[in-house]
Amino acid sequence: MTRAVSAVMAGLLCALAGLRHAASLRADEARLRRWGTILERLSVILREQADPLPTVLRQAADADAAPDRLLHRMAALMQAKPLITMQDIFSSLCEPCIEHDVLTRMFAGLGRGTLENRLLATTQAASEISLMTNQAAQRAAKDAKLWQTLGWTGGACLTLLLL
Amino acid sequence: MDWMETRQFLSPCFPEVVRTELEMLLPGELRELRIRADRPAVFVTATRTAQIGWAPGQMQLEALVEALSEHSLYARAEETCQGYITLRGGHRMGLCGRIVQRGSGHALQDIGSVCIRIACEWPGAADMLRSRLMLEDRPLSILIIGLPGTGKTTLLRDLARQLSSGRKALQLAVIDERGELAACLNGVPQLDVGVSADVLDGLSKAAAVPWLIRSMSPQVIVTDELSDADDAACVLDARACGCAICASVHGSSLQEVASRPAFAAMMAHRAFDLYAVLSAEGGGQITAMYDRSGSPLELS
Repeated sequence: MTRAVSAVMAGLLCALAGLRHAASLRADEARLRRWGTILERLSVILREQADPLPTVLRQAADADAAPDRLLHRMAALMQAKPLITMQDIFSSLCEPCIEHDVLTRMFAGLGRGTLENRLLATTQAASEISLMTNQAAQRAAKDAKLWQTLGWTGGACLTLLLL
Repeated sequence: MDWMETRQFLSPCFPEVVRTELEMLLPGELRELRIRADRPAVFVTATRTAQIGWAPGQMQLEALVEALSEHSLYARAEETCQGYITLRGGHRMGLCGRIVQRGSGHALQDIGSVCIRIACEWPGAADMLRSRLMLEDRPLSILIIGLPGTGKTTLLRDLARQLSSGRKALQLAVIDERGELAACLNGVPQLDVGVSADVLDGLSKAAAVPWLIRSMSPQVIVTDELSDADDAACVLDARACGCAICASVHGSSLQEVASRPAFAAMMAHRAFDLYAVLSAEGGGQITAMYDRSGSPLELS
């Protein structure tokens, strides 16, 4: 009896690992897509309004997604500790992710220089994020399904083997 | 903005060593803060100039400017091209560094030095001028002459406040080309220029004078730092329209100002009824006054 339960548990764990990886691929895609939208809005707001950057960040981040929450926290920290650069604030708040380097570079450019320089930093980051989003979408479409299937199949095989 | 508020505004933007120095200063004591990349920062007070133990790098200096502008430096390119930006509370941050050509204009690329001039209000500074500025019920025109940092703007601001406040308040308009007189933030003066003063912020004198005369019908126009023939022509225009003018100009004496070619027409037309010369030692102290023909007046 114990053996059977263990075998089923091991199979389920294997399936869960596959599902989790598939979910993370889809989450990457959704997060990158959201960053793309935010960066586009950021460019428009920067160009059309003359608000302080914390206000601009808050205006660009108007949804309840992880990137939006991160920008709101950045805006609050920029006002509380004005001497810390945007780049440092972002690095301290953002968890490791595939877009980390691109966004760090962007916030370094967004935090200094003329409007043109800042817009350039945003536009470059937006195009890089757009490419990454396409790749992530392909991965999510192809690999996510694969990992999901692998998880279930591997789990089933493991269970059968252990039984 | 009083000293407490000024300190609260400045402190978060500076490291601990500067914050400690700021804590020790008394209201009205700090005049300027001069910060240069890789060199010690300098406090200029009414009585001393002192170095402090903080020498920021260039990047730190840029971060400081960004912080003091409340992260809106990018949106104030026009001001930075003029060499300064007005901070909350009316303080002025002068900027210096590497200039790059951009199309037909130029832009400040790498900031190397910053001079923060602390705006201050001295209520009563213009008491002596106020009593002389009315002839029956008609306001007179006055030119305040002084070297940089001698209190011209502060004196002019208090004069504006006194003329446009009280029972006999005049309709007064302030041309605040550099944002120093009224220090408007979102159109609202941060410094007291009186209850019946209208402020036109950020416009050149040449454009502002016809604007004000057309739209606000002022009895008195107040403006600071006349600098060239165009400014002098504006004074004549305003006088021709029946407005009195209260203005300031850089200079050490009336003779020196009168000898400048740019002001020749203005002086020849005797555009001003009074001239006040400020002491080179600062503090808005008036050392000499002259009437419209240049004859000395007694100081009372």
